[in-house]
Amino acid sequence: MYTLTWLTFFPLLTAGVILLPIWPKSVMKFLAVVGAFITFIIATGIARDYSDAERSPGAAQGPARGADAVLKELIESELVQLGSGLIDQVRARLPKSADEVKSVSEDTRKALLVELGKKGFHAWERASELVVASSVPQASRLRYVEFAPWIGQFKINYFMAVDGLSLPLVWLTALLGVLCLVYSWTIDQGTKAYYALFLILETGLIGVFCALDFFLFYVFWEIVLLPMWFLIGIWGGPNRIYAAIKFFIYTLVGSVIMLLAMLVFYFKTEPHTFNIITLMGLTPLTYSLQLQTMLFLALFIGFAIKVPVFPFHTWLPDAHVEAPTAISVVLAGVLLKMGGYGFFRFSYPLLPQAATQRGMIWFIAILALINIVYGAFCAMAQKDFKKLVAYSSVSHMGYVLLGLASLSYMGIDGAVLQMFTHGISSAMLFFIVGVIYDRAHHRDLDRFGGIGLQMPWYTGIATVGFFTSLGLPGLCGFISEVLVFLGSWDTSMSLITTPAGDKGLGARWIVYVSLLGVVLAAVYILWTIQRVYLGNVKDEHYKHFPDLSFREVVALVPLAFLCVVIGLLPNPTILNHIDPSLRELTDMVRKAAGL
Amino acid sequence: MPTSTANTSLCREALIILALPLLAFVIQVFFGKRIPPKHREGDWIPTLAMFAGLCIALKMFFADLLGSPEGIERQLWYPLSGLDWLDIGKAGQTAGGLFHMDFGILVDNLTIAMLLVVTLVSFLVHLYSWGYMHGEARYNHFFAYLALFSFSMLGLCITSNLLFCFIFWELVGVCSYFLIGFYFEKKSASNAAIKAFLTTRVGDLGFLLAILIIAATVRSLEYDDIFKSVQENKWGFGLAAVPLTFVAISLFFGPMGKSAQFPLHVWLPDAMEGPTPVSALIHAATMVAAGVYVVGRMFPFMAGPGYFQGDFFHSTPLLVVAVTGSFTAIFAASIAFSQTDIKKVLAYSTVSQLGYMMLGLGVGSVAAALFHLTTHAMFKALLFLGSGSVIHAVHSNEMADMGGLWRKMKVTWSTFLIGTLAISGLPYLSGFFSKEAILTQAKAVADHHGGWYRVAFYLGMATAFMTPFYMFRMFWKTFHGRPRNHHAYEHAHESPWTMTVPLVILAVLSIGMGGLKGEWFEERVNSLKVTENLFSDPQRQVFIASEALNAIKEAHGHAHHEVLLLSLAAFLLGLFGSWVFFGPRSPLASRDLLKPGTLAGAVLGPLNHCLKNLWFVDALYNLVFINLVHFLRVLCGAFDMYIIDGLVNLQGHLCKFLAWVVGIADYEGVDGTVRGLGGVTLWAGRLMPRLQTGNLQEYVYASVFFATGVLLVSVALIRLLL
Repeated sequence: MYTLTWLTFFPLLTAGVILLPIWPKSVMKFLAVVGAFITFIIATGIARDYSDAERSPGAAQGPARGADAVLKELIESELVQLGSGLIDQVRARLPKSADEVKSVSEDTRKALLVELGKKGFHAWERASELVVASSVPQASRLRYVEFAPWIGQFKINYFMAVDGLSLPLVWLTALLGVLCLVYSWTIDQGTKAYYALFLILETGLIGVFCALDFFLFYVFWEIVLLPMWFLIGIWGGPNRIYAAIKFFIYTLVGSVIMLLAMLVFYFKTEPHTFNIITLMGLTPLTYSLQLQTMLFLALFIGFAIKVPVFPFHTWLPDAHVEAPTAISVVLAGVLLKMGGYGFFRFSYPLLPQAATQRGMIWFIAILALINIVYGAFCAMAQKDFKKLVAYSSVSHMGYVLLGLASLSYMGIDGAVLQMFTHGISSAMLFFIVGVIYDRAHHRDLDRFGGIGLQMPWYTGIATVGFFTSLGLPGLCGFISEVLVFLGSWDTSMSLITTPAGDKGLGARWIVYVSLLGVVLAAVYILWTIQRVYLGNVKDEHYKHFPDLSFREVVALVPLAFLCVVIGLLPNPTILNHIDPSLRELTDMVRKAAGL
Repeated sequence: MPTSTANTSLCREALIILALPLLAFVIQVFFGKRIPPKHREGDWIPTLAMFAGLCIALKMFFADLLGSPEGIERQLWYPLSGLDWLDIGKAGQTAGGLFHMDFGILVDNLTIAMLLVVTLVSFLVHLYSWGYMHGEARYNHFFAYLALFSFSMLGLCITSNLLFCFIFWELVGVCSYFLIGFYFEKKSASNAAIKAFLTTRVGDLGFLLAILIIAATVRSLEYDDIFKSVQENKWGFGLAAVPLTFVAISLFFGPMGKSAQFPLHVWLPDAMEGPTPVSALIHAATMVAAGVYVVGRMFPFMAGPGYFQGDFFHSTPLLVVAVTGSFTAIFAASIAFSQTDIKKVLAYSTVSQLGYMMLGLGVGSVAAALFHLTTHAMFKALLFLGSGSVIHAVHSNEMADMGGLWRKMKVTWSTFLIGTLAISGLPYLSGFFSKEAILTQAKAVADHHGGWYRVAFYLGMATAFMTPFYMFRMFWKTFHGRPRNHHAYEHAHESPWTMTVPLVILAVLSIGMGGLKGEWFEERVNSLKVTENLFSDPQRQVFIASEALNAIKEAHGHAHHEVLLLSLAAFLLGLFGSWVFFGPRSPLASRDLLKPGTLAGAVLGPLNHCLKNLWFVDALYNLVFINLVHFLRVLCGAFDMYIIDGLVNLQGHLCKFLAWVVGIADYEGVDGTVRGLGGVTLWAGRLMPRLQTGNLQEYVYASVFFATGVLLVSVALIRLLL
């Protein structure tokens, strides 16, 4: 089946196909859209099967089985490769749980190496890794597992799977892929390169969310970087070189620090491994708090730059302003989520004790607060429509951090949902900016006015997007925001009464001040609506603007639809499917932290 | 009476009422313009939906509510229970934020009363808009917004859950935003819309905070669970506990914003930028009353644990409600004196009347507050629609363009007179009864408890003297005296039937609602009724027989007569006063009392100055908040651009500088060495050929010289080393 592999590499395959020199331009575009659409269909199929499997975990068949079962089978197949004599020997020595793996001393390992021989010992090591991985609670939520050795000497595997944390983001990537390619139909220069690079970018993004091997993750992470650099640097606005280089170097600095952390993980763990799930089972037990804290900070810089967290956020407005519309959409819709995803997949499960220190919770919560409030004020200060939307992203990603810091079920659910809903709403907003920029050829907020009279349908859909971003109940942005607030208030109350005493936020003022974000968002969004859409038509040119074209409708309507549906029925549409995975995650972190 | 979950027939009817306008909204948005007949642009669809809803509400009201002396059995229904609207974590665990929530419909006496008010006014306003909005641009959108608003408002009234209440609460807010800004070509309209949305949202922060605290403490947002937690006295214990008083006051901020209570009242007068039917529906009858409804619904929570002993006169939140309400009442009434825009007068009078309702709640009478809400909905909707009829005729809001219109518009004039009399408190009209019910309760509580309650009562009573004064001032100026704008007067005409029929219906109701006389409300929606399902029979007896309640009841008897007399005096005095100053054929009416230099001018001039400037509240807000936000946004923007991004760029420049230095060092140092070596080699290369002279003798000399040298050096080295 290799469903996940198909999903990940189908865009790449499409890129390969369209690069053949035999296609006329329009056929090439069409093929690219079809390729992206098939990717989207695969993603939707996976999402549907995943939710079915979550509903009745026992009945899950084939690729939809949980990773714990699959990994157990892999242990067997690992052992079967050994000769019949060795197999029993190895099996007899095989640890049963993560605790046992942890307690294997250096001397025992040396003795085992002598006893089992080199081949047997390596099989024993690989198998015990898988034992740890299959015993991690989160593994039962991972489905569509694909596992194959890649670079054997360093035990680097091709290990892919999805769970409730990654699946929404994968699906969102696939969806935005289609919409952006349709929207980019008007790109005239270097069309083939643009489409191919975009599809490569999509492969990288899906890969990042699916990879469960640290090395593989890193490779995908870097794959994302390069096409993005070209896409901004070649098809961008007047100041594109500056923006592209800023983006590239900034992200690269983060990822190099992440690379260092990755190597520390590898060498500090016995047996050495890049397998994230195995690491989840081992690092909380074996790493000292000091080491954890250092690793946490290293990872934090890597992810924080992507999110972006204050004060690492200034690459974002520049990149957004210069990037072409579709690229801004992917940038805000998915790329920023790589950082958030990193926190949920790496920082917290791998380093729970470091993440739940009182100081660290404070640190994250304060940064969340700054992101929310400061981002909102910065958004208000902008004159450029696109820059305003970019800063609103900064503000909105603050809620993700706040939910994360809360470490409560509601907060974590809300934070992940916020990543998804912000992916929808910010994508919409960038499309909306693109629509008006294509017509007016400027983005100066002060020069707009009266667009509502001229383009009623556009204005209607834009209103949905803006109000989602504002957190209006009935649209999806509200659900995630209110969950984050419920969660963060909840732990700000309950954690300080736990026996642990010193854990948790314990500072309600952070919640009080964050609540201000709700009003501030209303301020800058309503002000923007007023300046762009309301009033009389400000410029004679605007009277010739046509309303939405078919291409723009295709890009905007599905997103508007999602805003409404998720806002009206949050649980059946999405929360139901992501909640179990996130509950395992939260449980695990809280347990490791002794809450 | 316990809550029935088995019999949900009324809930189902309520759901139909709720679904109709939503359906109408969807149809209107997508197909409005294409629905025949073409020129109607589909306006009849929402109107029909509201009419159907009104019929069901009437049935519920007359058959079910009036059918029995106690009203209906309370019903609770979860129509979407299979879907789990929100379900975080699983049951069995309590720490860390687990949460389950479903959309529930709660129907009790209070709900039915609200359903009737909303559907009735909404239907009449829909019908009225046929005429009033005729020929306007975006006519079909207007009806779509009205339908969406009606849906949200009905949802607010029937939900059983505080979070859903908040959801609908925000939705009515956004509808209000759209409708205030309906003429969005005008800057003032869009400004007013933004002001309304933001001011109410500031209040909603408190509401939201209260919801967060309640959710964390009670682990549910169902009204019944919240009340139970108060009954079981779960609040105020434990390390992390938040005092109930704090939460209740925080909750009150929401209603304060929505119901335009001081100091969040500033948006309502500006909201008059919206079309007049909108002002009637949203900013007079329904949405602004939602705050009153929510405080009434959450009454046991606001009253605290004392409520369940039948003593809610020592509750700080209720005192805050009462004082805020009464102060708002007199504050807004004072400003109404100075306004020249007919709608602004009505707006301030609405704020003032909402203050009355809050006063009623604060002194512990849900029934009186709801009674006033109902009667006010009728006569204020009537007044607004009447003013709309006038504006339609003269094409101006300013009273300076009116005068003498009674000859031209008999129906409008007569209905408007009824409305004015009703709000002013003419005996046997609805407003008289409901206002008297509130003031009597206020007097009783003031007599019994004194303190701030006494202040609240006096403020309320003083407002009763002011109301007829400013209302009749407006009435005289609009319909009587000499026409001040002859052009407008010439063209004035009576409005079409779609506009006058609603006026007549509302006029009849403004008179007739008084027939309920408060007893009806007292029986069916009194404080006990809100939560009676929580009481077991003995507790119920304790509640009813509680000392505090009895004392108030006793005080009621004395208060009743006094308040009756005072109300009558207030009406007559106010009426007379307004006639003296503004009435037709009054000697003072034509004199300029504000002329400086006279005694009256010395007194009234500064007062008028304050009133004209709305007691400087708006100016203060502009000065403080608007400037603060501007300051912060400029500060943050500059900080971000110059400091944060400046540091990033500095980093980049430093890197470039470093690269330049390294480049120089590389070129001059490392590469310089390499080049140097190359130069030496070249030099050596150039030198060597010179040695090859071809002269044998020179070679021999050189060899001998060299060999000797080598020999000597070798010997020296060997000696040295050995």
